[in-house]
Amino acid sequence: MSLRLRRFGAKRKRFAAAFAALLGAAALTGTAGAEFGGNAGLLPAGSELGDEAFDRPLEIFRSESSGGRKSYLVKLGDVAFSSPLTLGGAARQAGISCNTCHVNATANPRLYIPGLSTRPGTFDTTGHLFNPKTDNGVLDPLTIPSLRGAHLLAPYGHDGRTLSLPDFVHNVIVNEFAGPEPSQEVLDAIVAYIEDVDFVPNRRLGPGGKLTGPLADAEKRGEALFYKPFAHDPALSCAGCHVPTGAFVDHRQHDVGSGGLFKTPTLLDANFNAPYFHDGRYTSYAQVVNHFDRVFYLGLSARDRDDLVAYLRAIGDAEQALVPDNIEARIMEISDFISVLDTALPEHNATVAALTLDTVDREVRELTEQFPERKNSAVTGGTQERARARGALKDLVLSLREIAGAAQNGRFDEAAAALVRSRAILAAARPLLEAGEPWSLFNRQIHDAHFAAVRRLYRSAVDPALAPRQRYDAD
Amino acid sequence: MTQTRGMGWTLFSRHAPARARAGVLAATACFWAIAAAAATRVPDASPLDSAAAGFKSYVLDQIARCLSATKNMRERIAAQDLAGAQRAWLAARGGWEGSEVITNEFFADLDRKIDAWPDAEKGFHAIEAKLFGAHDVKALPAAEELVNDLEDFDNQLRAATLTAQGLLNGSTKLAYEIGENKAEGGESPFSGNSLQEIRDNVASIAAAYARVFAPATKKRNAALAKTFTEDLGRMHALVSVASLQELDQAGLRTLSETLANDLVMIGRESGLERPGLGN
Repeated sequence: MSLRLRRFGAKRKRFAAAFAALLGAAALTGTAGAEFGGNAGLLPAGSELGDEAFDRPLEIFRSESSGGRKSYLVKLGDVAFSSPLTLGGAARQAGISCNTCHVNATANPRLYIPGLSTRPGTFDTTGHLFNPKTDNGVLDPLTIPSLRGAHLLAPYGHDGRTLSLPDFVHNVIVNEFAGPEPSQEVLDAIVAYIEDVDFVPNRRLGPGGKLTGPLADAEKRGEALFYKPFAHDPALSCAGCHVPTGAFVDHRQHDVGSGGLFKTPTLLDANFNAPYFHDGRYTSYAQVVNHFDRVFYLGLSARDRDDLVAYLRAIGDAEQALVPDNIEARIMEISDFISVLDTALPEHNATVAALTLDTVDREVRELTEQFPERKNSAVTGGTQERARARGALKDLVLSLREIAGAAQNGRFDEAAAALVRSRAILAAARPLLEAGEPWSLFNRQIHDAHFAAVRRLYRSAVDPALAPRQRYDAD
Repeated sequence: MTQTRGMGWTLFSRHAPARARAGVLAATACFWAIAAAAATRVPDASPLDSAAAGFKSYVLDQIARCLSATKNMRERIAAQDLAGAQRAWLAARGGWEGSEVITNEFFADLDRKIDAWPDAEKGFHAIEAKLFGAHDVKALPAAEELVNDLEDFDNQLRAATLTAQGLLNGSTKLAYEIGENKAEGGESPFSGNSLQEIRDNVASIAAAYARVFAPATKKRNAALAKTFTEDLGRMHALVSVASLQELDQAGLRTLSETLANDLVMIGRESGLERPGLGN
C-alpha cells in the first residue's frame, strides 16, 4: 500500500479565493465608491478550492496492493491528472487540474465556485467559466464524485450516459474544461491511473459485501432491512440496486424521485463522499434514508431508520481514509513523477517530458511554500531551517528548468544528464526538508497559526458596507 | 578576491563552455565529481563589489521615493482622505518593490516588518487590506510604524556595504519569486497592484544587472550577456499585459526560472558563489 497525498497550488499568494470565500467575497471585488480595485484573480471572488486542508485523502493503488508497482502509464496518468496543462481555458490559467476537484482521485467536499456551485462539493460542468461553448444557461451543478474504484463503476457520469471511461475522460478534458485534444498516450495514461486507484479497505466487509466481525445490533438489523423487499413492491429492495456482491452498484440508472434517471452510486467509501445524491442535496445518511422512506413508502420506524443509517455507516467506512500530509509523501510523489522521465527522455518524447517537468515544477514550488518564508510574521523559530529547505527546493526547480530547456531543444542526452543532477539535488534536499519540518505547515500548530493569520488579514480587508451574508466560516 | 566555485553550480546551461559541457556529459554517474571537475576559471570578484557598492545610490533613490510616499500616506490617513491614502500607498509600493533585490537579502529583519505577510497589524499589506479592502482609513498606527521602519531601513542602508554576492543572491531570489502563482490576485490582491509590482521587480533586477554585472559578463561571456538581455526583454513584454487576468501564468513561471538560471550563470562567470535562494 502506498500512502499518497497531494495538494495543489502554491500557498502564500493563493489565499485570495479561499479566504474571500470565508469572508463573503467582498475583499477582492468590492470597489464601489472606491477609486482602486483589487485583483479579483482568475476565479470568481468567493471561490474555495480547499487547499488549506491539513489532511489529505489516502490514495491506494491496486498495482501496489497486489505486490507489484505502478506502471509507467499509471505514473504518467498521475502526472497528467495533476497538470493544469491537460485542461485549457480558465482552468489552465488558474492552475486548476483534474486533481483540484478530485483530490487524490477522490472528491473535494470543500470546493465551491460562485456561479458554478450551489453548495460545497458541487460543480456545474456546463457553466460559462471553463468552456463557454458548453454553457447551457442553467445552474445545474453535480457533486464531484470520488474516483476510487472507478474500474468497477461503469457507466460514467451521474446519469450514466457514457459507457467508456476513456470517452468520459476525453469529454471532461476537451469539452467541460476546454482542454487541447489529448494524445492517445496521455488519454490512456489518465485512464490507467484512474483505474489503478482503489477503494480504501474496510475490514468489516467480508465476501459478498456482507458485514463481518462483531456487529452492533443496529447494524445487524440494518443489514436485514437492506435486503428486505420493499413493502409496496417486493421486486425492489435497497440491495437490489446497491448489489453487495458487486461493489454495491448495479450499473444501471433509476428514477428514485430525485429529478430524473441517475445511476446507482456505490456505497463503498461513502462515509467520505458527502454530500449525497447527484446534486448534493443531502449531507447525511439520515436524510438519504428519509428520502427513500418517503418516496418508496417504506413505512420505516424511527428505529428502522437508525438501523439503516448504522448499516450504511458500517459498509461505507474504512480503516483510514485521510492521512496527514508530510514530507515523505511529497518526496515520494515527486520521485514518482520524475521517474516518468526515465522512459520519456530515452524515447525523445518531448511532449511527455514537458508535461512531466511542468508538473514536477509546480509540485516542488508548492512544497516550497510549505516552509514559511522569513517574512511570514505568523511563524517564529526555525528561520535558518526554513530558509535552507526553501533554498534547496528552489535549487531543484532551477535544475528541472535545465532539463526542460535541454529536452525542448532536442538535447536529450544532456537532459538525461541533468536529470541525474536533479535527483542528486532532491536527495541532498531531503535532510534539509526534514530539519525544517517542525516549522513547516506540515506541523499542525504552525499550519493553524499561519492560516489563522491569513484569515485575520482577509477579515481586516472586509468592507462592512459591501460584505454579503457569510456563507460559512471555517472557524 | 579569489573564490572556489560552489559545488552546486548548474553545469548544463546553454552558455556553459563546450569543454565543461563535454566533461559533464561524459560523467553522469557522479554529480559532485562533475561539479568539482567543472570548477575551472575563477575571475576576481573585487571590481564587482565596487560596482555593487555603487548600486546603493540607485536603491537609496527607490527607498527615498518609498519613504516620501509613505509619509504622505500617513498624512492622508490622518486627514481621513481614503483616495489620497490609496494613491500614496501605490506610490510607496513602487519604491519598495523597486528595491527588492536587496530588501530580503541584506535587511531580512526589517523586510519582515515592512513587507510582512500574512499580517493584519503591521506593514504594507495590513495597511493595504484596510485601505483597499475595507475602504477604511483607520490605519494610522500601522502607517506610523511603517514610516519608522522605513526610516530605519534608510539609515541602515546608508551604513551598509552592498556586495556583489548579495546582489546576485537577491536578484536570483527575486527572479524566482516573480514566477510564483498569481492566479488568485498575487502579492497585493486588495489593491490590484500585483502586476505593477512584478514590473517594478523586473526593473530592479534589470538595474542591478546593468550597473553591477553587465560589464564583466559582456566581457567574459558575450553570448550569456546577450541571452540574459533577451530573456529580460521577453519578461518585460510578458508583464506588459493590461491585467493580471491576461498574464500568461505558465510563461511567467518558465521565464522567471530561466532568468534565475541565467543569473546563476552570470554569477559563475563573475567568480561568485552559487546564489543561495533561501529566504
